[in-house]
Amino acid sequence: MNILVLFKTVPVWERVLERDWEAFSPYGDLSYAGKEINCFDEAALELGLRLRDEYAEQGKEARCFAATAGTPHPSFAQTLFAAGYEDVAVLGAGEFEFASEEVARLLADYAAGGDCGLILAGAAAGMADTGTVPLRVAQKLGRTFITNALELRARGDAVELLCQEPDGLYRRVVRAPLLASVSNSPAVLRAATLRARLAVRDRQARTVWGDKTFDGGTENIIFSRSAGKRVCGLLEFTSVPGLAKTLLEHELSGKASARAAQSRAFCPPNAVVYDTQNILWYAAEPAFGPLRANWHAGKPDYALFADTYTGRALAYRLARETGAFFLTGALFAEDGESLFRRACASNVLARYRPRLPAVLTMEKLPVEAERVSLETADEKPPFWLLEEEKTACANDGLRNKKAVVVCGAGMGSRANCERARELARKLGAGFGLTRAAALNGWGGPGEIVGQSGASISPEICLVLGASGAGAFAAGIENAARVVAVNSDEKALIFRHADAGAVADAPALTEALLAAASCAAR
Amino acid sequence: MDKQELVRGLSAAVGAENVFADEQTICESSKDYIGFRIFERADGKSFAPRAACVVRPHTVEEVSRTLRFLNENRVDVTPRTGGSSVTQSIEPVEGGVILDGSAMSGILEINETNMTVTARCGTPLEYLENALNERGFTTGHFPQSLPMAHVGGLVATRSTGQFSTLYGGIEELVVGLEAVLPDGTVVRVKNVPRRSCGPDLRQLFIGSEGALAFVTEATLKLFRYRPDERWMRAYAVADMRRGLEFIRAVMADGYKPAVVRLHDAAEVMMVLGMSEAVPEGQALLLFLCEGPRAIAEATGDAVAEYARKFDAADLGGKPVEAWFRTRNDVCRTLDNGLYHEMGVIADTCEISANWDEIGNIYDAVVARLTGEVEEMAYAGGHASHCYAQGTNIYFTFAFMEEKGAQAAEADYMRVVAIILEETLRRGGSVAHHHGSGRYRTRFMPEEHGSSYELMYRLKDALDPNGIMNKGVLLVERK
Repeated sequence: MNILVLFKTVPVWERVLERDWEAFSPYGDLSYAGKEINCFDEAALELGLRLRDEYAEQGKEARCFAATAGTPHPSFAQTLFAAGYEDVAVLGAGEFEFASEEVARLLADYAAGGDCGLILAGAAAGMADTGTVPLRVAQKLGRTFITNALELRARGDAVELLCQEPDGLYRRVVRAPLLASVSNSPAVLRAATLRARLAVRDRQARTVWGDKTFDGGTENIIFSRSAGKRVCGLLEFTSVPGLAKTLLEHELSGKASARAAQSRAFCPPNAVVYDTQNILWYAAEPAFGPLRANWHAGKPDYALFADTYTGRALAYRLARETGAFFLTGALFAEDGESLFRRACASNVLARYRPRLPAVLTMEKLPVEAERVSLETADEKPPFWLLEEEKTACANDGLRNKKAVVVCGAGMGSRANCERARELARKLGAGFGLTRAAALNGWGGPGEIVGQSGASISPEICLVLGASGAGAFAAGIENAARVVAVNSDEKALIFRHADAGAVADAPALTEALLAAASCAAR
Repeated sequence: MDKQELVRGLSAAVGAENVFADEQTICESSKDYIGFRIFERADGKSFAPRAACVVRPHTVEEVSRTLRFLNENRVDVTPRTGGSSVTQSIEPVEGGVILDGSAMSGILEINETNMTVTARCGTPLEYLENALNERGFTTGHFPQSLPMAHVGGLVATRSTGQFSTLYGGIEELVVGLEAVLPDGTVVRVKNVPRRSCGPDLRQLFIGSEGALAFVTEATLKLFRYRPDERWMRAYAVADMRRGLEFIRAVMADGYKPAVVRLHDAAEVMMVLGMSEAVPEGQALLLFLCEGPRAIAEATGDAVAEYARKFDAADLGGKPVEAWFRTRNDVCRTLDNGLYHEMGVIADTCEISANWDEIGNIYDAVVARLTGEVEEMAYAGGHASHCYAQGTNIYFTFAFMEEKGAQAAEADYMRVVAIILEETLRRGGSVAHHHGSGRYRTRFMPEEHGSSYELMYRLKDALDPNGIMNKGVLLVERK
């Protein structure tokens, strides 16, 4: 089997300076921050190699190829050659950031010219970070599309995937050809020896369609810093046990004044919400006929979908067919005319003025809009889905509890995280982790809070030892009240909190546990 | 003495609530961050020795009673505080006791008149620095372990910080201290700016790595905190040799930037990912000057002048700012298993030497690592602590470990031995600031030469029963 992996290089987000976020331009020079292969793409690149190795163990031939759009530094191609990629194709030339459709067209055209049973891509990559490129490529190629893969196994002509869906962990066996997007997999690209690197020193990435240039995609977008809307009051304390008592009696008991209820999502006139929640994930195709008929009958200015796998699949198909403006993960601005979406790992907001008609998947659906429920009668699995089994349930505590305790990498160890987990149990709260903490092995992918995990909206969210990276902050934005604890008073997390304490998070966890035990007695 | 007896005896000395014999506390307290131990843990293995229990005293009297009891009963003891060791210096002796000072936390006095701060051994450096910053002061001490390290450990390991080129290492920052000797005797060295009343007794404890005494309190110098008056600039320079010449000129002429860092081309590409910003094959220089505005600016102006002389390309201040912002982030991901997932053991090893040899050491080490170690995946280095006489090189390396955790330590030591051998061959020091720990002990006789005998005599005088941190610094006598 030939395996093609799509990848993108991005700035190292954590190293980008605040003033460059404040005055963000996709054409600004961020080279000082360094560049790396997007983390989800890196996982996809490694999973491709592992699958190749597995085929080899079974006596079958498999080869790995990589492709990207834009102009990555030559060193990245050498890294991929040394790791075992046979070819690295650089498609087009110029500035492709915020041009997901053009990127997808290039990648799909390139993939169509090859014979790849499996295409892999990170769930979200590049500055635009729309997460729609894999979907767009799959639809353009007419391929089976599987999302949220964590692991892959060779199963003859089929591929077995372990997928983290919002409602749990699934094992799926899918017949090739297929395209799979990789999300919170812990896989990282294998290292190569210096000798292997030396052996490929003279190999270059292959430029394909260097005459296909693109410059722009951003002319109608205004960027602003996504820095949170909360004003953090730092809690003063003389001792950690004293702080724990205050938190327990005031913040965690619900006595602290929560922010005013989140304003409801703005609803523009002539908008229709297409409800896709009754459609099984593999049955989007049969639902498209009724959707198309309804849309043509009413021609709504705004066709709105939930920002889910099915919502995105149907929305993009509709937009492709009708030529409508298409955007995912959108939020209406207060003026009702422009739209926001998150970009650059949720560090900036991109503001669009859409042309109408528009087809959008929404971060939050307006309740006032007319609703059309889409359903599919035929619920039999398609021929390409050979097996499907739910292997673990979702972490319901993240979504259904009034309080949630979230741990970041600053908790320092798995043992400290376990103590925070115990604290959550004692408080009757849910428990979650930042992606960095989960990748430390302190919890499962189903516990991740943030852009690539759960977006939570509890009444109180206690964040312990998280730095406040944009991708995580996006996941707690809808919490009524956020209380953050970090030993670094300059930590970004305090920008996303209503109350904060500059304290050692593990020590405070212990003090909270002790205080909770006293209170229970 | 069996474990039950030991726990009973210690409980009587310091209270049962301060003695921990559970597996989790013992494992967490024994955790060291040397590269092969991180790999072993990620592989689900644990080859570190097991202590019988952990004692967490709250007062100097409790430390005294604990040590007296252990000394009388000839029980091995390993001191620790924050637990950021990367040298196996806090790994216990099998069946011994870990004396953990992390519960002895707190700032005792900030003396703005005398420009000193006194803190207990378990005071986290980050907490101390935050508290001082609020009052407009700084310790000037910023090791990468800032989010983890405590005052006692910093003193005991002869720590240094990222701003050391201006402020010096901890040995220049300690004004006075308190320590407990193995027999329980409490000794204090008073706080004065300088004196000439015999050898400087502070230095008996600074860098003793817990082999001579347990440091319970330290008084450190204070400096004015002036974050708004920093001068920052990055430069691309032809190569590592040229960069070293550049730094030597700055230092030898008497300028003292707070931060001077020279990253080689390998680090630029593989560690910093800055291939787009720095021309291929070139090295990266980062400078940060601080102090009173006039001094910071004058130092910065001088650095800019040297940059012109050495044909270094000005990259602006942003690379320095970006480094500054994220310089300690590694502390939060030490145990994330990333390198194990990649199939490598990765680490650093820091050495120092005079100007006339440091470039030769760098060249020889890189040539041997890349030429002799087939499994080498990466070898690079940077200079980051500079003096008029020379500098350090912080070698950074990664090698493929396909034989599994069982082979990790031996393979690791094969790589480290190359670095240390080449350093000793050229008269350098095998440990610039991490200390000996246990993994470098076998290199200590050659490191110290004829003066090594003094180390044994000190040990015999202060710890005649040899209970304190056995295995660090001193090769066991036959």
